[in-house]
Amino acid sequence: MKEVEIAIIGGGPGGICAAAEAAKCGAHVVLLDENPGLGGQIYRRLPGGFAVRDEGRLGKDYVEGTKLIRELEQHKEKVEVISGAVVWGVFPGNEIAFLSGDRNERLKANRVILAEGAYDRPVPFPGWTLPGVITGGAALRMVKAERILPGERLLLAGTGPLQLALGAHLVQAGAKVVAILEASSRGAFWKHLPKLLGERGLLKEGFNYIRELQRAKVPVLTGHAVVAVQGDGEVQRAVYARVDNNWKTISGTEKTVEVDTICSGYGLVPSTRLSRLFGCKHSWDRSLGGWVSEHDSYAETTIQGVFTVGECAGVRGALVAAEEGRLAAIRACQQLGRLSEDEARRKSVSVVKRLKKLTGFESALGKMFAMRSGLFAQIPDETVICRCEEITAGEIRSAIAEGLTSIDEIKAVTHAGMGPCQGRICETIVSEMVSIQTGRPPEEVRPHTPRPPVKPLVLGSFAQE
Amino acid sequence: MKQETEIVVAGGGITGTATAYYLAKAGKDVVLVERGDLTRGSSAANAGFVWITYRAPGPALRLGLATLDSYDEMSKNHDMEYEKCGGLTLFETENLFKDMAPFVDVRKNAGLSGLKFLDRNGLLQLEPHLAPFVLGALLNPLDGHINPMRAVYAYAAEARKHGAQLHTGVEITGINIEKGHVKSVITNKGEIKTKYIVNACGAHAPVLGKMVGLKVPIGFQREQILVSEEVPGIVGRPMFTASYKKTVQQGGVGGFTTAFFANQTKKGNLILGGVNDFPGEVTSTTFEAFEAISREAIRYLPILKTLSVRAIRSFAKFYIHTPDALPVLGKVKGIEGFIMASGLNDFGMGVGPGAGKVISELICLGEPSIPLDGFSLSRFEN
Repeated sequence: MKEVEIAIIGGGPGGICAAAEAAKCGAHVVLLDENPGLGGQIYRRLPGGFAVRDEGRLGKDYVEGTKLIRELEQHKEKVEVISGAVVWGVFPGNEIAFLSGDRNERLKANRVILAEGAYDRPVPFPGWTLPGVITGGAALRMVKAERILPGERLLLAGTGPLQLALGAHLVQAGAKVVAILEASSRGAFWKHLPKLLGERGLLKEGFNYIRELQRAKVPVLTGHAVVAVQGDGEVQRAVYARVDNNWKTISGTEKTVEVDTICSGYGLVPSTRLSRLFGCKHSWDRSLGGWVSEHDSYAETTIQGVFTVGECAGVRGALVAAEEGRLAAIRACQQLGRLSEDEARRKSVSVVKRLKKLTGFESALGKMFAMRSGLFAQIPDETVICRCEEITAGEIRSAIAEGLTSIDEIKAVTHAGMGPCQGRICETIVSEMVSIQTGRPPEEVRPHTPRPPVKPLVLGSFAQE
Repeated sequence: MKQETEIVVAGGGITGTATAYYLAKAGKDVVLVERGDLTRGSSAANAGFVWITYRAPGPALRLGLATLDSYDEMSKNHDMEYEKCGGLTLFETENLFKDMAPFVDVRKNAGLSGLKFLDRNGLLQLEPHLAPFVLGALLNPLDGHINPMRAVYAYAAEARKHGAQLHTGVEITGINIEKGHVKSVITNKGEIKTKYIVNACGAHAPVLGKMVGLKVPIGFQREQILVSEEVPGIVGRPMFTASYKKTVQQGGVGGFTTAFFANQTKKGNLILGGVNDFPGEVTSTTFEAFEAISREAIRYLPILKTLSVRAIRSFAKFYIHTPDALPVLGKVKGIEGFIMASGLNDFGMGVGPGAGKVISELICLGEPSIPLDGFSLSRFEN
């Protein structure tokens, strides 16, 4: 089995910066990334075959991504990037099992840096399983990176500034955006927006988005959310309404609009499958997106030698991810003897300073756009919650009423979370439902225990003897 | 939680919940305590086989048959995904037919009259996806499968319905004995006065035994299992091989045995096994087991490769094994009111409810319908 000093899992900003920094310190690194090219979700590259003349026109993120990837390319001899590598399991002794193409491979790492990222928060409403309902993240990827329009008449529903960016990109690409529904109240949203964008250096870009939306006469309805989606085999209409402070529908305010696509963008959930497999201790923080691996100021988890950086350690944006990646790499290199304590301290001073400023601000952002429970309280009984096993809200509620209050117990009885996604979709929803029904805070709802393979694994990937 | 009861059942697996159910149904005052959630031990992590073919004729087989009756009865009100669909023991060599003949004869006369040898053609008619190197099988029409977790929750629900109290998150920390009689049970949530305590703690039965100075020789054997995505129609009934393969790890230490088995749930998930070893109380799964199970599954069921079937989960179960592979059931010498109900060894889902029923009879009637002498703890004294 191949042995490396540091294995980094995830090729977004956190993973890239961790790899570059570790290489600068002289360590040998393997970077495992699921995607065909580096960049992660935020810095996703255009697919092969696209020629880019002026990167600036693809937005600030694209340029930033190019900068980081170039930085990494300078350390080619120290960093082996394995693209298209799907990590499906970790085993004792920091053994990492992954599929590369259709082949099963394994490596043993002295130190592990997890940069698993995050995924779009699933928020169920009647009709959310109809073709035509997609997540905001998926829509953004389609229009930005794949250059595909997800629909012709779209309704955006969710929370946070990313919706404005998505709306503007869709309008630019020629789609009709009938409205953007922002669940938080008018005051909160518009008051904090300029500060938010400014801190990320996105003020100019942000105003361009807003101008673009105004020009196309796209209404931004604060204090609104989608109630239901209807259609015969696909999305044809959406019902939306005003919501109260807890994001619960105010009845009597419902309106119906004809659309073919709904983009649901309620922020992100940290990916913690691998940190859970490693056995790291996790805690619940609504402003960070839910369950996250506990870690010290050097991003080291409760399992020695295992680090967690970027969105999987709490949703706080790409800039935080990048700095955390560097910090984890410095600490790992110190542990490996590649840096003295003094060198490590010197190297981390400026990173820590930048990180402090960023995290203070990003956690304020997280609090502002954190999910409220009203959306989950009103899910009708017949709505499907576990999409893999097709388990409804009603089935889950009766299990809770029978006294089952942990995710694993509910899974055992209802099968919710037993499918191929291993609860990635339904776990957060079920936690909210348990919390609502029992009155206990979500942090007391014991999360699910993932088992390898965390991604479906073809049995035939093991060569026959 | 009550502070006084007649019987405390320790353990929320299949044996504990079934015992609580039968006791409550007989009108007894019962409190069941489980330190974690219900069905967290071997009753959660197993392949769902309800298998009685291998029980020795006599009391052991009768416990199995009582279990089948219990499942039939429980199925009237609960969907435990129980099917008496038959079970297959696969033969890869001609010798196995001959070797198994006496084994089959004695069982045919002891309640398993439906046991039947199948040649390759007969087997392929039942299971067309099996590879041609499998030469035949032994079919027991009484064997079958169940969703083990649903089964536990069904017995728990019925126990509650009959007035039993079930408490999770309650851990027993001590047992008070006075003049050779059980007086009370100390838990992290307080003391419960009781006349009886039933030790249905499965793998943790020795811990409870130790509290009253008993040595319970129960060990762990890990079995690793893979679960596939839904692919209905691959196997019609649970099956496993009569032969196994020993793999010694590099360096000659550790090592494990591999024995193919397959079962398919109602939804179409395949439960594939299995790799056995003795790592102690460890529930993690290993890369080597993934490799071994995947290879064996494809060797026996080549269609899994053709269809690119994917594994979506793995887990490890414990065989809770005793030196003579028999359960430990019934009273213990010198401590009035302390009842053993653990150590079911392999195929626990094929014995648990039957054991619960006889333990209940032992307490309520003084005399169980199936003699338990051969299962007493004292048999290990020498």
